[in-house]
Amino acid sequence: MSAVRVLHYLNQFFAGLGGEGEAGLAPRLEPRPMGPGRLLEQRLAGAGRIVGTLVCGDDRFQREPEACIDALARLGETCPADVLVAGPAFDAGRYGIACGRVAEGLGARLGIPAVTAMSPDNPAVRLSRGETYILPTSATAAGMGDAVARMAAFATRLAAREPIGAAAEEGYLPRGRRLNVIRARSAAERVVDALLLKLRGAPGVGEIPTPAEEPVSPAAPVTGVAAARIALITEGGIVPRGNPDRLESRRATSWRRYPLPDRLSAEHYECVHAGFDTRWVAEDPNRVLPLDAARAIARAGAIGPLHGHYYVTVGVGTTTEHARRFGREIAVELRREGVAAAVMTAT
Amino acid sequence: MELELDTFQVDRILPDAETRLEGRTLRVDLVGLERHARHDPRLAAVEIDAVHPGDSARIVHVVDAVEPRVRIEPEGPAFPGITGPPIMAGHGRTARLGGMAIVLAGLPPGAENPSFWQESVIDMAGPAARACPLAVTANLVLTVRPDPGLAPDEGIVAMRLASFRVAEYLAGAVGRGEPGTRERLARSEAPPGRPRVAAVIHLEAWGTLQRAFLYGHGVEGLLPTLLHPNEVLDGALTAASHHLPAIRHSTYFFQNHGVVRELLRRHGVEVDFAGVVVGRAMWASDEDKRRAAAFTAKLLHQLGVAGAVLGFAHGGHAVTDTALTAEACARAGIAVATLMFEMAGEDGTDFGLVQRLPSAEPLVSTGNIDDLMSLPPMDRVLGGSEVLGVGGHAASRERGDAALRLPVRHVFAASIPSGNGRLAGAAG
Repeated sequence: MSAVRVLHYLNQFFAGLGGEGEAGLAPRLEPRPMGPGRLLEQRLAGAGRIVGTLVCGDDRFQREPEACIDALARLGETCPADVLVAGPAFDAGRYGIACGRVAEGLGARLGIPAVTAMSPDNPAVRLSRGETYILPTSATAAGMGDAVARMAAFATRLAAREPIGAAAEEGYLPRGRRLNVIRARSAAERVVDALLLKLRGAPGVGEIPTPAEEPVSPAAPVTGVAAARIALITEGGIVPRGNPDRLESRRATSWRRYPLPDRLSAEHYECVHAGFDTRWVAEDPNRVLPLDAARAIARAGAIGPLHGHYYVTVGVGTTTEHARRFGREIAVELRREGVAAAVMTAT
Repeated sequence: MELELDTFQVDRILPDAETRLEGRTLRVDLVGLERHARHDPRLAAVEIDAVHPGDSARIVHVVDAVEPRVRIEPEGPAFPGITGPPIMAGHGRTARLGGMAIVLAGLPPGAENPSFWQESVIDMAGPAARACPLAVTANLVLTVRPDPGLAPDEGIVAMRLASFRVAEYLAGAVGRGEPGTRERLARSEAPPGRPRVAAVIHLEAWGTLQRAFLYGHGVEGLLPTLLHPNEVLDGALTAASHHLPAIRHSTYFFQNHGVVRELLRRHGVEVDFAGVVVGRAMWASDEDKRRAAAFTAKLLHQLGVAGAVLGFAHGGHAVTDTALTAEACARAGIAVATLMFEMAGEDGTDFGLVQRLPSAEPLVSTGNIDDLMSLPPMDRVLGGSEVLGVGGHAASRERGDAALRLPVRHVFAASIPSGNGRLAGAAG
């Protein structure tokens, strides 16, 4: 493979263009390695070279990050490269944020992989969207040699589009996502190890972190139910026969809204849910979308009128991200149409 | 209880005029074997073929896998309650053909219903093979077409029976001589000081869709019960599930259950392996779930264990059964470690657990089943000709030998709760 072309990002200080006084420096491109870039090029050891150094003042970037990314992208486009390296930023907060944003935003704009490096305690780590690799460094530039060596090795692999494995093995900071790996030992061997460690009182050795609880506060009680307009919602996949709008059978990314019929018959409605045995609901769709019962209690005056449409999605393997969005979108619509409460049936 | 397990190792399976084992090559009279399998009038067609690790081959519509076994002493069925009377397993002598599996493939009646059946694939090479613990065995693929007029339940019974009969027939034909290795599986008295531990196996039970059998008995109404580890490994448990192939149990991985094997291996050395509690999960009501969880913890307490390995059975609310079992164990002062699959989305950015289950920690991952794999085209496709419904839509069809974008959840046994796989989710 020919030498990897590296585009390097630095702030004014590390580029040697000035201290705090020059922190307003506008984005610029220098066609040569600068500051730590010289060391980086040494560490690339002939496998790569720095084709350009993008520089921006820390204050400038902080003040107008989008405009700076735009300007840096226009400069970067004039200098074809295989990989973008930003920093290292150590514990410098503003510089760290700039490195993180540049690695994420600029790499994507230029269509090349990117890596940055900073102290794990740098606030920019927490602010990262998890779309770039951040290598951990010491808090101060005393760790420059080590940081640059690891960045050089990582950048070379990124440029070669080698698959990058798990954070612990590859030495980058976790990006908040799960990656499948093939372990040397079976899950059975590992779980017995984990149990024995736990019995010996060793600290947590789990492979799946449990995230913090996200409590959902219940809505206030419905007042005046007898007059309240009630909607029916289900994640049970009840759709008009033939599934005319192609609602997904599992891992739904969308929801549908259909006029509420007088009667929900198996002749005209079907269930496309792939997460439970649907044979019984195929015989009577009311068992998932309880229209028969709702109409009966509405007639009896226990609730107000039924909302004229029902809302449906499929809740099996559906991501929480999509489910949250469905909830928001449906709630906005229900509110707009004066619905006071909804009955949501789950499977 | 002591079981002598004789292993006849098989590396290659070749068609021949006569069935015999030559060294590690199993020569199989395929015509005779097909005739034997087709003896059941409920089967419209049977086809048998062999694939080996590294072959450019894809098996589609995989139903189950079974290791060939024959019960030598006492004489009886290798799968009690399925292929013969429900005599107790786990003692005496059983012969196995190691290194190979009978892979049962085909579409059961009712497969067009996506809530009933999901596509299930074994690739013998490429990324899916690396994730699949059945891509390392020589596989005799038994493709079965049940009579289309049968009800789903009966069609499935007929298909499954064919695989068990072929497994018994093959092991019976070549597994009676001097074995390559003979293991003695027993829970001899452990020296003092070893922590007393158990394994908990949760089984699927969800109508015809997901089933497991204990001595041929459907586990739908089963309260947790106690098994000797040898029983698990000797044909007491069989599987019949048609959903989520990556995480469902299969007969082969009962016979070679990773956690049971691992605890037996360490018995007397690092642990005192007290036994296996099996129970169904996927109970339909909160009361049922709590009763079963409390019952499991009670049995573990009666066994006097300090710790237990928990698993899972299927996705969705079955994870609640695991969580409640872990909570009941915690109340009983029993430490647990738990195998768990993840559903973290195609790109791994979603919350990967069905629910939080802090009592079950530490959680050991069997992989993110949403992970989307890019699979190369294959020279051969067995079990059927198409890959069905692997997108969001049940109606999708793709050529079986084509390059595929396939979520791990369709890769047979990739994230199996027996712990036999090496796939794992990791922070990335």
